[in-house]
Amino acid sequence: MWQRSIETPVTGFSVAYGLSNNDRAPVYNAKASLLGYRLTDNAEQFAEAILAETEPIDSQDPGNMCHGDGSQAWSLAIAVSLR
Amino acid sequence: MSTDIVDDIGTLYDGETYAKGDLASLEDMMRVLEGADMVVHMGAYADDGPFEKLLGPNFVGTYNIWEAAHQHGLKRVVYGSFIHAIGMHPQNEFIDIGVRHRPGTFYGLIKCFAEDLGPIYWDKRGLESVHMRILSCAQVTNAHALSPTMT
Repeated sequence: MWQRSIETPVTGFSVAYGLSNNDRAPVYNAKASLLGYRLTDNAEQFAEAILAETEPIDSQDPGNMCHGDGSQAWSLAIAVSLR
Repeated sequence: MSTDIVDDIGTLYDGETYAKGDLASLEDMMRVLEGADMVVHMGAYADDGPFEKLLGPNFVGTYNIWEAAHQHGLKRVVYGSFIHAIGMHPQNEFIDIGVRHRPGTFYGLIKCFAEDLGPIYWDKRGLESVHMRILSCAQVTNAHALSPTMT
């Protein structure tokens, strides 16, 4: 992804999402196809194990339905995953 | 060449050099970008915080990178944007890159600032930029991360 951002001959001003080819991907990246990178890997391979091991997400917390920033719960999720 | 605000970043990779510089200083950014073809800009206070804390490294620093890149005639800025630029959009709307900015924090606001600064320098000065909105780049350890993570 970073390599393509550097090596693509002409980019003008471009915006793209950086993520993997996840079954549950919440964004649509087709407009970034100029950069020519194709998403690989899929977090779904971890889904069964993670859903079995982790506490249920609070469905009443609106932040859990946002892409980011929405709530303390989401911040905690990010913080935990970064450790 | 890598840059940071600290004196020493430890072991360098083959071919890597290091120069200390403060993002909030245009003079420093002019010095470190001299002779470069492109800059990959991911430097920032990398968390949300009070506006005053983010103002120097993140807001002013972002301007300094673009301005120094322009003055030195660099071809492109490759920028580490973040999902927080559009963080308050609901996850079930399957959005593309054209949705309006909708940050939920000052940290997200900086990513919006850079995404609006980039086109000024492209449209009026010919400096290219790629803004990569990273969703998450970490080991998948929770259910919420099943959708956004870059594995």
